[in-house]
Amino acid sequence: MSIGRVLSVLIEYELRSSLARKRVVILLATTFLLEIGVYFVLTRLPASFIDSIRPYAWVVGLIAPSTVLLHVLGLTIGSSTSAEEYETGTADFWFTRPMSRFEYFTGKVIGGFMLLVVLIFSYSFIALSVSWYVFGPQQRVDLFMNGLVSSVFSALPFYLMGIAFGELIRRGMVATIVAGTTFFGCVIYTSYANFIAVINNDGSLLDTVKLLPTWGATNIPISVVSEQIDTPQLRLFIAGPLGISDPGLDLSLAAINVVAYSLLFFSAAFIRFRYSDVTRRAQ
Amino acid sequence: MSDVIRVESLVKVYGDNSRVGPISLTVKKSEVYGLVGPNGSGKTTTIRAILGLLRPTSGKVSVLGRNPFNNPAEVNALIGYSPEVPIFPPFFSARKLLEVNCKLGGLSRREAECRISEVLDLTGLVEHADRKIGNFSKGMVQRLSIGQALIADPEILLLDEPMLGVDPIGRVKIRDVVLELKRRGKTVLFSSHELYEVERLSDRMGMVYMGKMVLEGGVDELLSRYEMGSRVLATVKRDLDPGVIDSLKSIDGVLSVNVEGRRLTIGIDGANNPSDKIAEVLVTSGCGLEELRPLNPSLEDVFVKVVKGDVNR
Repeated sequence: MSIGRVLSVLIEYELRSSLARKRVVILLATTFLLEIGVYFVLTRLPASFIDSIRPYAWVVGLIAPSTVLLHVLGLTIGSSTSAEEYETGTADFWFTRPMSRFEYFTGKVIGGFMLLVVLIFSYSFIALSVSWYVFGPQQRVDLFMNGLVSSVFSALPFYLMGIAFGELIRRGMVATIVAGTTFFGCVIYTSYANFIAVINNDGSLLDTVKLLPTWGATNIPISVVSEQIDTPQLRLFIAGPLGISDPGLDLSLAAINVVAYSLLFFSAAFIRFRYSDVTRRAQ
Repeated sequence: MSDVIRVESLVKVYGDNSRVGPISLTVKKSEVYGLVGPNGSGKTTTIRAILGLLRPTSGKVSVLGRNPFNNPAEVNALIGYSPEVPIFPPFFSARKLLEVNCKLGGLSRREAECRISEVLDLTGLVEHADRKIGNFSKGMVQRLSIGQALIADPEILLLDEPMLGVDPIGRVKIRDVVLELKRRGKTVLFSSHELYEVERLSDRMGMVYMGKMVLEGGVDELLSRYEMGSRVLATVKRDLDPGVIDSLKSIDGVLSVNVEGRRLTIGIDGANNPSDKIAEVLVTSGCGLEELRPLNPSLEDVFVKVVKGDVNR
């Protein structure tokens, strides 16, 4: 049995099941509405603020989701990808096919991630189109692909965290809540650490922020794109309200953070999956 | 004949501390093995361990020498499995499900088309091939489940309660499928709590009760091994007076009389057959004796005796 054949079956299945459960439609609608919301807010800002952003409005639509929305989407898709087969009772069907556990697991992980990539591409192109239409010709569009790739890369840790919690708990909704709580816990801690750093002039807490899974995942896309564009308002508008942006980001350290957490969550999920029983449908 | 499936002292302890086992069984090549027992006795646990879906707490399971939990891909390539409660992706059509099975089973497109037609025909689902499984009836899903188990023409078939929820016509069809597989030399392990089906289809069988294997052997061998005593069945035209039943009970050699309407099951001493005297009592009572014939022991009798501990194992 070739791994390519298994992967193609599982990726197709994952996309079909998402379509059948109307999950893609709901997620696409959510991201579309959020994009529209972001641009609506942008048009309501004072002209002095908006004028400096206007040629780079596409960056806002592409990068702003990577602060929160992208990761919420990732952990939601991840937890349902791994837990839904147990919940719906189709696990027995898949686990009695002639494929190894690794092939199955990899196929599911890639299949779910493909869905996430489809969403990232969708909102990115919506951002580019809307920006061009509303704010006129856009500049530094050469960075668009960098932004896209960095968004896809930075989506990995929380997508895989969703997979890991989904596999550990085997209940999609509970796994989403646990993974979501972890994510928002990290965001709140980061905001708090930034606040303390400002009022106490003490940056020691900021060092601990670098150990969180949010550090690399939320900062890499901002850094890759907006650092190249010398417009402080852009960064402020994208990540400022949450106070999670790290202006002096060490990109290679951030990448290590993303890879390390991705590997950790992938391994935890796979070990649990490989060495535990296939539970029957949750009653 | 070589052993295809070996289960040795399988014990499974679940998270809630419920325990199944020890269960041991062997299924030989080209035989139909029936695994019987009441609901919750451990049949499905045994089957799931054979499929590698469960890791035994202790004991060993092997399929053609391979450990199913460690080598699920190899083992599942040999096995076609139909679960007790089949659940398939509801948005798949029957044809799509079979196509996926063929693809994963390594069949070429041409082979797959051929096999899919055969299986749809065999399961009587030709007209429903392109309907979504979510709209299927329970019986149709059960038939599709048997079909997907057969699609890649596996060496071993594991059928967990294949008759569950199937109408009488569907049962005949499934029975025919099992008999056809037997004729073609396939190895079949099926579980059921209906002893009648096991008696009809199996070469050998194992009885599981309260999580333990209580009996294993050839069906004919088990029926003869456990001396059940002889019984006769009498059918009469009119209801019997209690006095007639007392008269029957008083006949020398009559051990028991069980009345169900106008049918009497009479336990007798095989060595001192009182059938003539029974006939005489029933004829003279004026109840209109219709039939009096010996009754062979069934697996149900053996099972009831075993679980009640009435016979030595």
